[in-house]
Amino acid sequence: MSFHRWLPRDFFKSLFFRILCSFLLIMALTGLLGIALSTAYHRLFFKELQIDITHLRDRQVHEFILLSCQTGLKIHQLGGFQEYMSFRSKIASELHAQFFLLKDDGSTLSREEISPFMAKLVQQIKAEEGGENIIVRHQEGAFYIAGSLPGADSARFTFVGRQLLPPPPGQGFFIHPPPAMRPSPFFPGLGISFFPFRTWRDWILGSILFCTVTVFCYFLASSLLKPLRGIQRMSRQMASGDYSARIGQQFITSGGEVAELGRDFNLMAERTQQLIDSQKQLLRDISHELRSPLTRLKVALELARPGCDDSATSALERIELESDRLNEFIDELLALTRLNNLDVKTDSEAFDLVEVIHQIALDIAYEMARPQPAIQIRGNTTASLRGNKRLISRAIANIVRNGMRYSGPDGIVVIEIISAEQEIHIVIHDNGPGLPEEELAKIFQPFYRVSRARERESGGLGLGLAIAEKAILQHGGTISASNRNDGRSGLKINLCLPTDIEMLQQQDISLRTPDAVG
Amino acid sequence: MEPILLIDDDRELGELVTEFLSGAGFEVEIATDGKQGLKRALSGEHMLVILDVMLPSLGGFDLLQKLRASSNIPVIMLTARGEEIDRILGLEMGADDYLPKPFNPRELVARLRAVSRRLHDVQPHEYGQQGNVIAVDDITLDPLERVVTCKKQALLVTDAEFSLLHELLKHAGEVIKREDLIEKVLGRHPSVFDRSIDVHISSLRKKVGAKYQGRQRFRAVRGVGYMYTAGRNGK
Repeated sequence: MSFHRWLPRDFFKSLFFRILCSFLLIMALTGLLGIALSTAYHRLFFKELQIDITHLRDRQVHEFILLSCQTGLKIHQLGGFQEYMSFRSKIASELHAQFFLLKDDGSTLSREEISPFMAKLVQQIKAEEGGENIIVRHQEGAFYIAGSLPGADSARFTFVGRQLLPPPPGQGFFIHPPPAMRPSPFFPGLGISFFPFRTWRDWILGSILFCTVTVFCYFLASSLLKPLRGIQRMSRQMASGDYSARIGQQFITSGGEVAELGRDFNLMAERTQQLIDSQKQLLRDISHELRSPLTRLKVALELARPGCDDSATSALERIELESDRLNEFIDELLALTRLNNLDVKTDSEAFDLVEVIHQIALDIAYEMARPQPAIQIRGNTTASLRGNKRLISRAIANIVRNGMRYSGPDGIVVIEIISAEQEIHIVIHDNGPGLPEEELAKIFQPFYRVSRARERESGGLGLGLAIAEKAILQHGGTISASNRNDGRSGLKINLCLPTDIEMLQQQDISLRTPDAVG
Repeated sequence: MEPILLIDDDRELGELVTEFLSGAGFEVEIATDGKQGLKRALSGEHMLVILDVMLPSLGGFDLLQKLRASSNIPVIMLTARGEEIDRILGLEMGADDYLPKPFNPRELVARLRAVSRRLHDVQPHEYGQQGNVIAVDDITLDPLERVVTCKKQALLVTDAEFSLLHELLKHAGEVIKREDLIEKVLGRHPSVFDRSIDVHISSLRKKVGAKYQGRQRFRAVRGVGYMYTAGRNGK
């Protein structure tokens, strides 16, 4: 996979990201489901057990404190205060149980203060006259019990005890969790606190898990995309004109829907190539077929000439002229249609545009029998360009010839070449009459003539500029016409060509085709 | 009447051309089949061959290659208009010049006459200073016999190549304008993007060697023409 395609904007639409999110979502949902199920299970099946065990435990604690109080009282009677206190502290430190014995006047045997909550319980016992009343309370993770005891000599003592409770067996989470583990706001109903990432160990394990999942998703996405990337590559190849692009066998044998896509692509490519080839062949055949009668026509004309009188001679001249026009017309038309089918990139090379323009200037000046200064070249002395040399030469030659034709026998055409960072600007202007504003955009249309009358004077067919425009556009450049704005009359053609056609084609293609697999 | 061989599958055209050229002093034999045409071309009975490179059977270029393997007979190829690639290819394969179809018959005659002149006429003012034979570096050129040797070995060159070399050696050390070369060597006016001389020069480079004593023999001068560079003991 190529990383340059992972732009932030596109990343969130990428297959890898989608797979990763799906994985994480499923894991989270599974986790939640698991917790919900186990909690429900616990609640259903272990609740009763919990209740039973809780009851048993309460019973045990009750008996234990009762026994402790009775024993304590006895020790106080027989062993004295010190013995009583040491007994009490032993119970408290080893068994986490506290008890207080209170005399009728409300003071404790241990001469300590009891908590307000305990005092309230004592009051409640005292309020009920007679009988063996026991009060049991659960408060703040402790078990409270209060009641009355008979002492020696028919004195009555009130006792109140407190036992700190451990969590009952079979429960993973506290019924009464310590403050650090209060119920999370997320799952209040469950009464559990669910945030597993509490310790460093949890974080490390979690990170390892996340990395493993990410890597797995990466390779999964990558393997899914590999055949798709192959198809994408071939598509681009075809789009840039190589109709022989086909999906390799290794993608097709892997099977599945992607293999089908590969087969379909190859079918389409095959058909397209056939169509293009047959079109090209048709063009060739047409041009060949048209040439033959025209060639014969010309020879026959020459044969007819010697035997002619004057009137016939002028007629023959006319026939020759029209046949030449027909000839030129076919040429230009074929050139135009060839441009439509052309893959500019296959014939591209690096060359010096200025050198080519110099050569063009010489050729045209000679062809139109003009003195050398008729075409002037200004600007950069060298400008390197990568493109189809033949096409660009032809385009510029057509424009220059046009300028020469319309500026009359004293015409001067100036070609200015300016290279900028990624493109080259060429301005060609003549000193002819120029054109009305509304005609300026139209001159690049095939067969467009400004006025019918000029056709005969200036020669040409109206296709030169159309061909030029097509050629320039094929190179990813721009072309436009305007009137000269320096006070003189004349037409100005502005060209802009990218310096490297290879670069442009790449970008151009990626802009045109949506990055569906990116 | 000069014997000419026309290899073209268009029989009607052949008949018209025969009629026309006979009025100009050329006797035309027509071959409409490639194999037949090759056989006749190798017979040595003609002054020049006009070959349509778009022949379907035994394609024109194939024929040209086979012909050039054993003959230096002047060849003018008829190409499709606008297919510059055909032109360059044909010239590289050894054709002397090209004429796009449809062609002006008068132009064809002009070129035939140019070739004919070179082969048969004697033009005294064109001799080199050492009498008939011109010797520059290790090349000896005899305009009368139309033989050129390099390093004492006879070279196989086409008519156009011979004439080109002749012109360049005659003016060794001087630049000759491209237009003049085309007119003298090929007997016609140059067309736009005319690369014929380029192709012939690169062909000559291959045949006599691009360099002599470390120096490039042929030099293209941008915007002007070509020259054969002379050493210190040259002209």
